[in-house]
Amino acid sequence: MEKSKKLVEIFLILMLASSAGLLRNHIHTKGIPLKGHWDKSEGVVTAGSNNSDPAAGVLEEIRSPAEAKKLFDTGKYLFVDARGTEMFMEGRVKGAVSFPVNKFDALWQDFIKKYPVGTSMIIYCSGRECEDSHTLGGLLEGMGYSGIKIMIDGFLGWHEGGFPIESD
Amino acid sequence: MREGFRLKATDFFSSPYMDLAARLFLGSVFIYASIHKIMEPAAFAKVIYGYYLFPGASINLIAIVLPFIELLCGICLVTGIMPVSSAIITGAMLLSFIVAISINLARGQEFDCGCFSVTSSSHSSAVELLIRDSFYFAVSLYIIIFRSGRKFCIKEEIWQKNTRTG
Repeated sequence: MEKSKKLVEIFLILMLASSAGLLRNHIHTKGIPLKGHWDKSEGVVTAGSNNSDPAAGVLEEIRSPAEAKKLFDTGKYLFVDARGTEMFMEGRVKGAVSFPVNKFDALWQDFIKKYPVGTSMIIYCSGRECEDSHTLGGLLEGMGYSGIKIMIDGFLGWHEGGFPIESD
Repeated sequence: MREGFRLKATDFFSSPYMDLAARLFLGSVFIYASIHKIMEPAAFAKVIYGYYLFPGASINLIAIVLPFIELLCGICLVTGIMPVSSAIITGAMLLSFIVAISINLARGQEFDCGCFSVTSSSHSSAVELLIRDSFYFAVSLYIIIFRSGRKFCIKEEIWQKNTRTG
């Protein structure tokens, strides 16, 4: 009898908490879908968002490093590294510029001066387990840039492909 | 001397003030731990993903529900509402955290996407986390097995007709 009372209490707590969690998620501006995208073979893993801005553009994804290399060879694209400065210095796509996404507010003005709106660019970060390149791409779109491409395999995929890199 | 020592050990397991301290401590830890996860569910989902233990279909659901279980259990422990049941749930959660961390330690795996979107409030190693969670688990066990009268409990069992406030 004692055990069944405890089971009922445990069930009650779990049900109340689950209901509160689901309700909060539904109304919260940072709520996430009940099912995210966690299969790397399909693209960048992400929890997703219930509140994506429908007016925001969908960034074009480059789905293989070889595809990115073809664009690299044209010389028409600026490669932008969204990772931290330390990782950038340890190794980056040859000729890439650093723009850590967590320093966007401090860096965007200088970036726009050097690379005005209209510059064709490819943004990358660590790979398919990182969304920073998408985040930076969205922020730059908000500044007026268009046609931004995301190299979803990131520096890891580029490096594994044996493509040109440099470091400090 | 030996009898004195035995009495002190018994006091530890029957002192309502020790139980109160354990509930307040564990409850506060869980309330605090839940806040960031509730505010940033996407980042918490990424952390869950990083254990490579859960099916993709369950990750978001865990990220949505788990922090509220932590919050509610924390509140129940602090206020003395169904403290034993709350401690059983927190103990089960801590045991699962310990198992998950141990599996990743055994695999030599550490999730590091190198991204800013996954913020970590501390840079504790897996071993530090194991030690910490094991301590919390021991506190949960203490609350569960405590048998003397509890102090400052709003509702020790939902079946109780009269409330006890110490």
